[in-house]
Amino acid sequence: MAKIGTIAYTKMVLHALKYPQYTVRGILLGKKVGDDLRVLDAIPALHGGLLAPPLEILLIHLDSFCSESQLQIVGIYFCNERRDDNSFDDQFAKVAEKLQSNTSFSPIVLQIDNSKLSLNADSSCLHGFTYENKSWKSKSCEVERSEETLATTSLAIQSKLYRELIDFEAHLDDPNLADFFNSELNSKIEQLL
Amino acid sequence: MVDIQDWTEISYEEARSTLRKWREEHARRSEETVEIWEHVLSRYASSLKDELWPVLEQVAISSLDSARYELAIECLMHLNKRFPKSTRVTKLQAMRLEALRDFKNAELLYDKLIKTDESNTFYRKRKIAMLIAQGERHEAIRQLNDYLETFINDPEAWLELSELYLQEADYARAAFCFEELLLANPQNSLYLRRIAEIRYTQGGTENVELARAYYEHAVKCNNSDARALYGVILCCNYLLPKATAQRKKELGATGFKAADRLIAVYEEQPNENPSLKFQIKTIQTLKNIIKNATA
Repeated sequence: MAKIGTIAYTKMVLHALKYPQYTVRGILLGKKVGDDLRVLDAIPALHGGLLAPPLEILLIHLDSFCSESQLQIVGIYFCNERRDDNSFDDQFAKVAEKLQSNTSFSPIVLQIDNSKLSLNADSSCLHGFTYENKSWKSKSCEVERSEETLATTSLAIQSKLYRELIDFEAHLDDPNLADFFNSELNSKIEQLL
Repeated sequence: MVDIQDWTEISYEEARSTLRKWREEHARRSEETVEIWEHVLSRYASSLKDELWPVLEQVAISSLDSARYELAIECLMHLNKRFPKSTRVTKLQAMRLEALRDFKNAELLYDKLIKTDESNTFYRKRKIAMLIAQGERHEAIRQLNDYLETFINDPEAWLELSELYLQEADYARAAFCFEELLLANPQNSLYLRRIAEIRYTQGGTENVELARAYYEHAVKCNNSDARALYGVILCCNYLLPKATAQRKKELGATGFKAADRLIAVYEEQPNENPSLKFQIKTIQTLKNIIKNATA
């Protein structure tokens, strides 16, 4: 069972809200705990077109980051550009498929459902997918501490914290936006909890 | 440059000059524009004098982009009163219909506007934008290609077409759009970078060699372009294993130079960066990979 932590959930939503006119994509970090896959952080990566170079550079950065923080890359997330587009991001999912070979567990793909994004959401906006028999199948995922997480996300949106989120592509375009791990944002989200 | 996050407390002058800057740059900062208007500039409407009208137009479009439909209507009413029967105002009304997803009537309005001015590119592009909004990507591509046969020098159209091709994973055609853009603007480092990234994504030695050349050209145009510097390193890494001994030397030197410049760019940044050491470590790792491949 995939369990999504508060910080990961909130950051994914904030990323989608920061770039409402683009498809957003990112990498999920976490660890396997028993039978569960815990998604603990989300690294916002791209907004707009899916191109290899920024992704490859990010993965190289994450390699070092993960060995230090004892987290692993456990999957990817994406949110389509248009509200009524619920198609699966096959291209980006290929990145997650490659992860399969490096890990002992099945990576997860999370899709943010645009129509479920709301200031006062009462349910998760995520659809989960796992890789089985060479294709991506729908799999349920649970948001940890669901009520508090959704409330925290609402607060984060109201406080416009998406303005402080830095995705990796923004960092590449302006290295002065230095912290694409968003450590300050992570602390702020924790404080809202 | 780190931008202001909270626009509600800025001065009248700051508000006015910020909105003007965004108008000139065609920046899409709709939520912030609405915020600046509502919290600051709307109180000084009379001080703006003639500048009020372009500001209202800007706020109207930003309101539509932020689903603030009542605010958009307010702006449109003022504009309509001041400029009755203006095609520029009618265009905004059509955009409002678009925002409300009343595409049929928006299209009728745009068609009417096109009849009044056949050479106007804006109305035609809005019609294509509506196709994109409805997910009619193939039709949008078809019509955009048609449009570009007549209006061949429209950078915005080539950029949009390239985006559509990327969404189709048609990298070859996406790259072609940038080749057209570069014909007219050979020193535009954003175009150079973008086409480099598309070529790299296509993969294969030939494409990555092209990518490397484009990235290096972009670095020549702007020595502090981190994204292009990273790109050079990636390309060298990719090409090294299959290169001849002589070529290996060249690629190694190029990669090293880019990596050193990149480290300098990171160290030059004014903002405090908690991850600086860590990011430099990653670049050092990349340098080592190059070193090992050149050995």
